[in-house]
Amino acid sequence: MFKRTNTNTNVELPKNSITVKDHISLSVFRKQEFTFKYLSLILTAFLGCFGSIYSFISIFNFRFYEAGLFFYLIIFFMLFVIMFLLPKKFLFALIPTSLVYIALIKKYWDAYINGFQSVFNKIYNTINYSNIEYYKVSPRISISDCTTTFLVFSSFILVMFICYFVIVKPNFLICFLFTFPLLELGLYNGFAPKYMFGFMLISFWIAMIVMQNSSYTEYASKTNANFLRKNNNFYSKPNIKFRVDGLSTIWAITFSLSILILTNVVINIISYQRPQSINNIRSNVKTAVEEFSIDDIQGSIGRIKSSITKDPASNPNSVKLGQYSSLKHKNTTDLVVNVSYNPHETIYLKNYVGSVYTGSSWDVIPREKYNEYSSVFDKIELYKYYPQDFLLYNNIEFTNPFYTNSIKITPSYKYHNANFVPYYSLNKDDEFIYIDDTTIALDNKQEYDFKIKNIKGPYGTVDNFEDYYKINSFNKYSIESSYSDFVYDNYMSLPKGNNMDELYQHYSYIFESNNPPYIVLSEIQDALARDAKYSLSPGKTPRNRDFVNYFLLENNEGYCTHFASAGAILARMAGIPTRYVTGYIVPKSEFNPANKTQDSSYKINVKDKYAHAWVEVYLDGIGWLPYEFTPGYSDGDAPEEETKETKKAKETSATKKTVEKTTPAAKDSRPTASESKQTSTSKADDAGVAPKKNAFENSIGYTIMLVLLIIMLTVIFIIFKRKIMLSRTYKGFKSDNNNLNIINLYSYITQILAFTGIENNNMQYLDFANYVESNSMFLKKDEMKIIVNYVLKAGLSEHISSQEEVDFMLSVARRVVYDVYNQQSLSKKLQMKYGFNFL
Amino acid sequence: MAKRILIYLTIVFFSICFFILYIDLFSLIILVIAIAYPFAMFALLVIVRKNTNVNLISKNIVSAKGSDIDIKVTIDNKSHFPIPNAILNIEYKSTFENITDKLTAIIPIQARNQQEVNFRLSSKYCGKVEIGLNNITIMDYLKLFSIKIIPVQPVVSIIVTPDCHPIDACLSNSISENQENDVFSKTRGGDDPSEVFNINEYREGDKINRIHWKLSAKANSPMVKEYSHPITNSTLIIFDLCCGETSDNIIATLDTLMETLLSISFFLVENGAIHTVAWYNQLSEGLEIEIINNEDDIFKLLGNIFNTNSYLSQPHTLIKYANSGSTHQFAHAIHLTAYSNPDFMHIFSDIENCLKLSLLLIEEKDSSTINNHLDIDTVNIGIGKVRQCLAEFVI
Repeated sequence: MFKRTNTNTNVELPKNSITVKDHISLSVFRKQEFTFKYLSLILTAFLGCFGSIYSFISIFNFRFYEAGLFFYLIIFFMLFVIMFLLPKKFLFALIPTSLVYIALIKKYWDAYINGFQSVFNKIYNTINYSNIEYYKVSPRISISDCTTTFLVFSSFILVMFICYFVIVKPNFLICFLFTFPLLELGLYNGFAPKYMFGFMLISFWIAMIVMQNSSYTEYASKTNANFLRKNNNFYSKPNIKFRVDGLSTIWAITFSLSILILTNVVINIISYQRPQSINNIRSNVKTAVEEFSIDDIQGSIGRIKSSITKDPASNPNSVKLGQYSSLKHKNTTDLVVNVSYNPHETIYLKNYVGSVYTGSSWDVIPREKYNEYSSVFDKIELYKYYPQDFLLYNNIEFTNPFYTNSIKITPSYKYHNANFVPYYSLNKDDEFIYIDDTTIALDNKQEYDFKIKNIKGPYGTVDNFEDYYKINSFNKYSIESSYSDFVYDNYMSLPKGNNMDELYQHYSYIFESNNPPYIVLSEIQDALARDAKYSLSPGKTPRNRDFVNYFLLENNEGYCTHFASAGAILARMAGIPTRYVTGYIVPKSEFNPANKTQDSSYKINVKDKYAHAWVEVYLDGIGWLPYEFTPGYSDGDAPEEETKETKKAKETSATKKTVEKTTPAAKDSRPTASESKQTSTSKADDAGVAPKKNAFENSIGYTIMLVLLIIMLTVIFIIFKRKIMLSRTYKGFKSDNNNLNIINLYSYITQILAFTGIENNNMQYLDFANYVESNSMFLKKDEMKIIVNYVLKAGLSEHISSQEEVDFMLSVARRVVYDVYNQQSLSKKLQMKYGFNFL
Repeated sequence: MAKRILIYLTIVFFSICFFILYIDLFSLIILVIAIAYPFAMFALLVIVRKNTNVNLISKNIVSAKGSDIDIKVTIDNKSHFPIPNAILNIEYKSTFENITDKLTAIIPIQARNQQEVNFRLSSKYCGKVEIGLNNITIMDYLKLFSIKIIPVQPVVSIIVTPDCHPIDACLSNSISENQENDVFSKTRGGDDPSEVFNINEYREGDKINRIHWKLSAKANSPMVKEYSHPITNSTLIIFDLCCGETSDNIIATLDTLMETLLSISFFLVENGAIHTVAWYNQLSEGLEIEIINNEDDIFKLLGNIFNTNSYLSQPHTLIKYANSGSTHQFAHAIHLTAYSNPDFMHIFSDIENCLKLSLLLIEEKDSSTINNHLDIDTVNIGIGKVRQCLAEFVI
């Protein structure tokens, strides 16, 4: 906010004639006895060290001696906390510590390297769901031993850095850079740490930010003043009295832990389920990101954008072709279908019809084309005889009564704007909304059912002929005849250019054979099966290539989209009107006992892998007939296709099953001779399955032990600090320089007086002496004046204080401190002794 | 702060991306804390603001030029939350100068404690110094939000008094003694028998007709009456707190103007001369006339003048007094101003009922003012040279 410059100018020429003096002072009414400074530093360092290390360990579930590592971590933590909390001159202790560390790591170098390799293998296996050892570790080596060795030595460095950059030079960025990779390594690959340790780490980061904001380190300078002045701006410096960074940090940690724990509790109480819409977006974004290519940045960005915003089944006016290099199925249930009886065939559920092929997409017919044939469609509307129903009335023999089945469809969230319509659906109660000549829609999108004319009866319910068949033969024929012109005008179009010519040349033997349509279609089907291979990973179609041309003449690999598009184009070349259709299939294999319900109907979860593309061919006198060009689908069932994901999932589940059967790995605290045996038999446990709950972690005993340990550390620290500070204080009274001794003694006496509530508050020396004499009972008459006199002479003149003066002040100081001490309550006594280190 | 908000929004964005891309609940928890934590910080600020009182106090109400003005800001935070970064914004200006300057300080605020921040200012020139504490801006621990706390008393005023220079002017006989008046000096005696100033013991040389016989009989020794000295109010000071628009250093000019008024007024009071000061109140746009009997009246006059503003356009006091049609007789009328314009001299010279007219003109540079009116004595007073310039001035 206020940028500090390197120039040390004090005052600039003021704008007005009033000048601000350098003098600025901050005083408080009640001096706070406990500032939380050290507690906040220790707590923050603890959160950082233990949170980061245990987060890392909990992600990958290494085999090591937990108690051993914990013990060493505590030792390192105590060592560095004490070292860095003491005055700066104690930092020299880093040198022997480092030397010891270097000597030890040299001695255990082999174990350290083996440990590194074991850890790396574990991480590698976890991320890649495999059992492959990246590094070959000798089976004679104890994995637990070497892993523990590696973790101990690495933790030493980490603890040292974290403690230094928390206690000595608070720096959030460096702490973050040290600790974030430990978490990110797991998060990036989809593995989260144990929540408690993750919470500790997040709280640590927040505490560091707060500490850095509160420490005013950016305004540090060499002088001891409390404020840095830049023109008329005064900035608090790091050594300002009455700092509040300690308590602020404690509050920050409290807030963060509270929010984290509360969130976790609420999630568990409400049994939070991740919304399916988020999962869908995730799936789409992941696919789009994986398909990202520098060569096609515009398309890549478009895919990413549409993955976030696009409703996958919103009946777009265009379906893009060849944009993805592979098709990935997540095994999600996209539709739930209830069918009253086994139809003994695959059910096709139509959703989208693409009529105009552009070379890279299937688009709908423009509105103008429909307007050109408005008389035909007016007639269709008048007699309520729609092209979508031609197949039903031409292809089915209507007896009276006739058998029907019912299908109820419940789409998943991602299809809340779409309908999926089976063929031969009967428009019961006139609820169908006919979309041009292509699809049928219903008002209800959440759950809807159809009556289907049963082709292969007799089973199902019985319906009456008159309820449905409402058109006479003449009008029927007239409509079909007029509509046929529209069809041949619009469903035969092909893009102009060499691509189509090449295709025509390549398949001319089919087109020039003069065979009837059924045979032509069959020949096309055979040609596609012969010339192309079914694959879910055919690769993307290059940007400037025609989709069908590239598929048939170059790539020769594809899935249903490729085959359907190719079939539709070749059929058009052969003079048969076609259109491209997408939707879902319900294979006949799904009508099995596993899906049968108590009332003999079938409830089938239609997975995402059953999304399909096929072709509708128009045959005069029949209508739009669905035709299958994809190899393997034409017998009415969907072939089993193994994708990368399903392969991985299978491997994982197989691994998990293996693990369940073997003995759980020993995260053994006691290294035994039989460790190697245990290693060989329980190697399968290294497959990377983290136990969901650790009883030890959850136990109350763990918490109590932790609390006791913290208390013990605090007590040790306080005692140790007292000894050091007292020794330092007394040395200040007995140096060779008597003037300095006098000044130190005066400072000591004023601190004691301040403890009793008698504070200087910017008074002159003599005024303060008078004030003390009139308000304090611990000093005799004129004693303070004498002391002040000595101090002024020692500090402000060339007078060399005598030993008698020093002894006098020392005796006064001793007497005052004991008198004050004896008059205090127990808590105040403890404060004097262990807080302020007066005696 | 904008930078921090940008960083925070980036963190939220990445948290959302992380939540979308990672299925584990941990990603949701990170998103929740990324969004909820600033709300907690904001709530903290609101609590602190509700429980904190701020006050601006000045130890001095009056101060001398160049001496320290101690300002104290007291902050009483009753909440449990400390604030590491609080920004004090203090503005100060002199009403004569009307240029506002600012000072800021970043300080910590302790929890459940009362603290004081002491500043020290000093003013080079006299006038009314207004010091305002607009607000204290407190920031949360992450420095994302800030809230202002308005003080109870946001403004304090300090009068910086002008220096009073002992001048070696002469008091003209025409106004000093032996003029009849109903007001008598309380500090010295004279020859007016209408009132007795004091009764003393007889000393050789005292006039016989002044012996108080009754008291002498009682006291059994001769007692002599001392007669009073009548004080005349025969000086008028027409004070225009005005300087030309072309003036380079207005504040210094006005400072000298005030010092001159104060010095002359003190001189007259010390010499027992009651005088009248006429001045123009810019705020009420009216002419004010005050009779100065003693030092208290001088300070009262100064206070009233400091509460008004200076003006640049023209000598309003002179114009208004001339138009007031006052019939009071003055032996001497002094126009004290820094506004030099020969066009207004005739207004001054047309003032009736004054035996003598003098113009005291405060000038930045040594220049001779052309005075076409021979009946007006003009004295040029340089900035900061009051004593020297009034050395031989005859009042």
